[in-house]
Amino acid sequence: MKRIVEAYQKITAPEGFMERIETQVRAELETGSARGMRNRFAGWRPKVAVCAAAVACVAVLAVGIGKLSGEPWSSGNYTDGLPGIRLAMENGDVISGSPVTADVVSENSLAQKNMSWTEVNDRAMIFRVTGESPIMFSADSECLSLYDEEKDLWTNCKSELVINSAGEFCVLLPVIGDDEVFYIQMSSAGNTCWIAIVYEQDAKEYKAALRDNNR
Amino acid sequence: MFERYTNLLYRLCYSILLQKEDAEDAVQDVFLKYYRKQPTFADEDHEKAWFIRVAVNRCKDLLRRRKIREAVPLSEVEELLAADEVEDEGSEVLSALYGLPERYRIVMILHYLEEYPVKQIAGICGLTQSAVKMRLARGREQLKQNLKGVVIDEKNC
Repeated sequence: MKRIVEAYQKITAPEGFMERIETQVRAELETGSARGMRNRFAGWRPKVAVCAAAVACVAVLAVGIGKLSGEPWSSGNYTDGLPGIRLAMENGDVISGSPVTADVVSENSLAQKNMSWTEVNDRAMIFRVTGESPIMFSADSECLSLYDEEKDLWTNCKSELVINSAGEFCVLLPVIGDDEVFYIQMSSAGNTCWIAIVYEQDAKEYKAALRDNNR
Repeated sequence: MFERYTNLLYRLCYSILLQKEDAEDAVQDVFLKYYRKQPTFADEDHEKAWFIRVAVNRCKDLLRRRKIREAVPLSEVEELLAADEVEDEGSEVLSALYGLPERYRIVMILHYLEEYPVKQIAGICGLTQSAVKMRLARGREQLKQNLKGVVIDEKNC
């Protein structure tokens, strides 16, 4: 084992890489541009931002810890002009998420949870809650899939798909957390997809509201 | 920060992506995210765990995007290692480890080479602890088969 670790430790960054990357990162931060180290990735990040915002489904993540205050969804740019969402909570916290930076930020850190999501492509994303099976959402099939660790397969899970009168679809998925049952709710309106996690009580309220919309 | 983590992150990203250029991109993205977010950490361990988690997630993103998952044959991995002048006795096992599927390779690297406990790997990879143990067990088994008799020390996991 020791020999393997030694072999592993011998892998080092190319000479001059640290200085080069430091220069690149500082330049990007100063100019706000997103040029990659190599030409084939130059401008890759802004392209993602533009495509995500204008072409396909802009997947937006919002994490609801505690009761949501007022209108649960608020879309728009959340930081640095990136597409995203800000969500005001009753406890005074503000939670933001962006598909471009692929992160979730709790502005007062009171309600941070180990959650993250990863873009698969511009029509699908994988949502993770630490300790739980990853969940994939596809805008094409309008369904959720759970990762089956044993079979190493994505399998469709039991979820409730509701399409309201505006033609939007919404999925409610019960998830068992460490100390609670919460729901993942995803909805699509036009070219925008939204996702939120809400406590059971809130989810029931949404569920009822969506059913009303269908009538 | 660059001095502290560049080699560690490069080694990790390279071991997951098996491509130098992709590893360089991943490391750059990790530092960018760090300076954009400027997260605060309780201590050095917390800081290191953050860098590793972000790096692993970034590598997974790149693997998905470029559809290179499990696409690098063992012979190419051996060439990569040879090119890096990692030619001691451990390189045989390391190249075999690099030949494992991504889902086993990442947890094996984090556990055996970066010496992270199962609980922390579960947090980093977004897996349950039992899933990490299962991947370690299957990874070890596959590695043994690939090496035909070379035994990897089994740490408590």
